[in-house]
This record gives sequence, C-alpha cells and structure tokens, in this order.
Amino acid sequence: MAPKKNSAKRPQPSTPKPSAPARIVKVQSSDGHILQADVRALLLSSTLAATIKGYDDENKPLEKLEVNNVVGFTLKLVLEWCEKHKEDDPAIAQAEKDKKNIFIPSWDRHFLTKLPMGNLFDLITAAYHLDITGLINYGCKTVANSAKGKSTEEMRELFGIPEPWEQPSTSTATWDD
Amino acid sequence: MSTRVFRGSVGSLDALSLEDVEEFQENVTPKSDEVPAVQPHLFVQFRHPDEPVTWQTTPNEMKIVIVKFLDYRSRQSLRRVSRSDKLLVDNTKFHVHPSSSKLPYFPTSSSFVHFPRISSSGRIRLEIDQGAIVDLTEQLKQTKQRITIRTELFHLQGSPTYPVGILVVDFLEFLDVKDVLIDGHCPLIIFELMIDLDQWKKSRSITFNHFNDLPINPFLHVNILRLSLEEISIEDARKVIKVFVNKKILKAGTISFYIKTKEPIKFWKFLDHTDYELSQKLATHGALPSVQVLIMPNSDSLVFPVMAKEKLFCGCACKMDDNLVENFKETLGL
Repeated sequence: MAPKKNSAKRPQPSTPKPSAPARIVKVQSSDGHILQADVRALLLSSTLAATIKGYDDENKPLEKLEVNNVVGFTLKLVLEWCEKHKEDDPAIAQAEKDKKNIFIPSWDRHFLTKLPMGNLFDLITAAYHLDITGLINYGCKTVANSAKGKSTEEMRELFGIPEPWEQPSTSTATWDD
Repeated sequence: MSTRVFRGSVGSLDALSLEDVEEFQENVTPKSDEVPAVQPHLFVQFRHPDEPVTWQTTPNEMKIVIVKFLDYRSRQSLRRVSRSDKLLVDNTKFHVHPSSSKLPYFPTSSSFVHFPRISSSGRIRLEIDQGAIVDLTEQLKQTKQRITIRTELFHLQGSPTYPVGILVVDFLEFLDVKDVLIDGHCPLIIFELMIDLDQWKKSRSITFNHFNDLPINPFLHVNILRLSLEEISIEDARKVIKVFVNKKILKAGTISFYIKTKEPIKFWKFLDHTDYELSQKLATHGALPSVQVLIMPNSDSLVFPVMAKEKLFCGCACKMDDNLVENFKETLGL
C-alpha cells in the first residue's frame, strides 16, 4: 500500500529543506496480509520503534516487520491512523495520557466514530499491543463518549456483553487438551 | 503432541491482572516433556481469531482508560453490567475537583477512598444513587477509622411511590448534616429508626416533600420545618405554633414551619382571630387565609405571623415592619 499524501494541509516550511525520502517497509499482520508503511508512522508505536531501532543498531536491512497479534483489517486501520499522525509531536500524546478530558481532533473523530464498536475495540486492543499512546487516548475516549449516558442495558448491548445468566463461568477451566 | 487451544480470551477473565497474564503465559509454555523435536514458534495469541471482539475481550488496561473518561452516571451503569465490571469501576479512581462550584460532581461509591479534601470555600454537590449508597455504607462500616462526612444538605431524591429504605438510616449515621430533605413515602418503622439518630436530633432543618402519616413531635426541635402530612390534629397544630413561637433567635427568617396536609385543617380552632389587613395581603385567588401575628417572647423585636387555610398552615419569624408581608412570603416561598 502506498503511503497517503496527507501533508497538503500542513504548514510548509518557508525555505524548502531537502527532506529525507520516505523509508517504506512491509508490515505483515497475524493473518498474513502484507501492508506498506512509512517508518516515521511506525515509530508512533513504541513496540515497533524498539524493533526498528534494533535493526538500525545492528545495521541490518529492515524489509518486513511481523505484527503477530493484529489482524490485517485492524492493522490497516492502525497504519492509516499512524500515517496521519506521523508528524505529530509525541509529547502531546504523552501529556494527554493522564488527562480526564481530551479533545479529539476532527479527522480522528470521523475516523473513529465511523467504526463499529467491535472494530473500535479491535483497534484499541491493537494500539495497546503496539503501544501507540495517541491512538489509545482517542480510541478510549471515543468508546467512553459512545457509552456516556447509557443505561446498564444499553451499555450491555453496545459493548456486546451477554446477560449474566448467559455468561460462561470463568471459575471453571478455560483450557482444553 | 496434544494441541493446547485457548478457549475464551485473556480479556474475558474476571478482574484480570498482570499476574493473570503471567500465569497464562506460564501455562501456555510447553512443558519439557511436551516439547517436540522441532519446536514451533511460540506465539501467545491474545484472543482466538474467530472470537468476536467485545468489551470483555478488551485488555483491562484499556478498560481502565475508558472508565476514566466516563462520568459518574455512566460508571454506575457499567458497574451493574457484570461482577468484573463492578470490580473494574470500583478500582478506577474518580476524582472530585473542588475548584468549581457550578456543576454537580459525582463520586463513585467505591472510589470514596480517593476523595480529596474539599475546601470549605466552595459548594459542591455530590450525588450518589441509592444502589451505590449500599456499597458506600458497607465500605464506611468496614473502615477501621470512623469516618464522618460533613455536609450541609442530605437530600434523598425519590418519588411518592418509592419508599425510604433502611439504607438511608444506615448512611445517615456517617453524616454530619445540617439540613435533611427526604422525598418519597417514609414507612413508620424507618422513621422511628431515623429519629433516634444524633444526625436527626442535631439537624437544623428537615423537609419531607411527599405526604406521610408521621407524628409531629420528632420534628419540633428544628428551626426550619417543611412537612407534607396526611392530616394534622388541632392539638398538634397548637403544639407546633407554641414551640416555634417560643424558640429563641436573633435573626428574622431563621425560624419557620410550612405544613401541607391532604385532609382539610380546622384552623379556626387554633387561631383565635384574624388580622384582616394581612389576610388580604396574603390572599391568593380571592381566598382569604386566616392570619394571626404572635409575639415571640424569647426573641426581641420579632413576631411570628401564622397563616392557615384549608390544607396549609405556616409561619415564620419576622420583623414587625413595613416589609413584613414580603419577608413572610419570601421566607416561606409563598
């Protein structure tokens, strides 16, 4: 997948600087889908950043990153979000981490609210595994916004939580040989 | 080699902790006797690929972040969804910020331990629903150190059909309260427990918004009384007037009673005569109430006008001046 050109609306430097060419790597999802992403976008993930740094330190060529706990569809969403935010200051996301109220920018609001709740949970879970602070903040805030003002029954429906009598007991074994 | 299949997901376990994950990882690691000659890559699948992602399969760390963004009411809804969600909400801090006095702030019952010290400069309204009061009271009971919540007003919000329960009595024990406002039907057995409390005896004002059949004596110690009673006897009405007129105060407007009844009051039997001028000024819809101005023997320069009509009688301490009618109306909300 070619990276999106989303810098049209961003302020351009007055004197054009020779920008480094985008470094594109392949990213493979747990179900075998191979996507392409700009390394700068991947650096938003602390998990992937550590892996990339490991390759760079050893001067190994980085051709393909395997993300073993995120399926292709979700990984595509993650990369789309990272691509959009690759030029963001990571300090902003860190500063918002412990705030109770955060502002979700327009693009993110549209991006996240269009997703069904299941995909949103998937995206948050992926952001958790990949440790992407900004996506965690916005994703969790979006879920919270959807849940606000809901009754218990509405919340159960929204979150796909079965009624108590429908839930399997977790005290019994969950392993099967 | 037997294949280990993880049924369910880490996120769906109740009250998942990091220790649970570590235990899970420990269990999933093949035992030495199970390790095949060619060891496959060990991959901890956090959930089965076919399993639909729901709230329950979302990592607990993320649930905590989500709960942090929720307001009090939504948290209360969530904690009633399941036992694991109750634990989740109860273990997520909820801060009350004392800086603002405009909006109501809602502490979760169980996050009580995280209450900040609230400065006396700001007025803060805290709402706790009746379900949460049970949990909060239990926690207060279990706390080794005796905790008293200082509060101006305790308002039990409810409806005429929603009876006042024993939990209110239990909860009141932990309050240092000045004003008590009760909605709903109050059974006599609960009322008798309530009036035994020090909080009741020390309260400055008591309001019962809905019609109840309660004795008048336990209310006579307060300075401000607003009651809705099924009926009131002549003797009780006389007693109310006598007690309130004899209270010792310095400031007008700080002593008053306002009693509504369902049954008509025979007010002519306890008001000797009517001040016709005041009666006209206090008349509503053409109906002239009976008004009698009584001297307050223990309060200098104050008088106690008592107004009565078919299903209402009320009175308050006022200065005997030109603004008497306006002050009377304002104090009693007429």
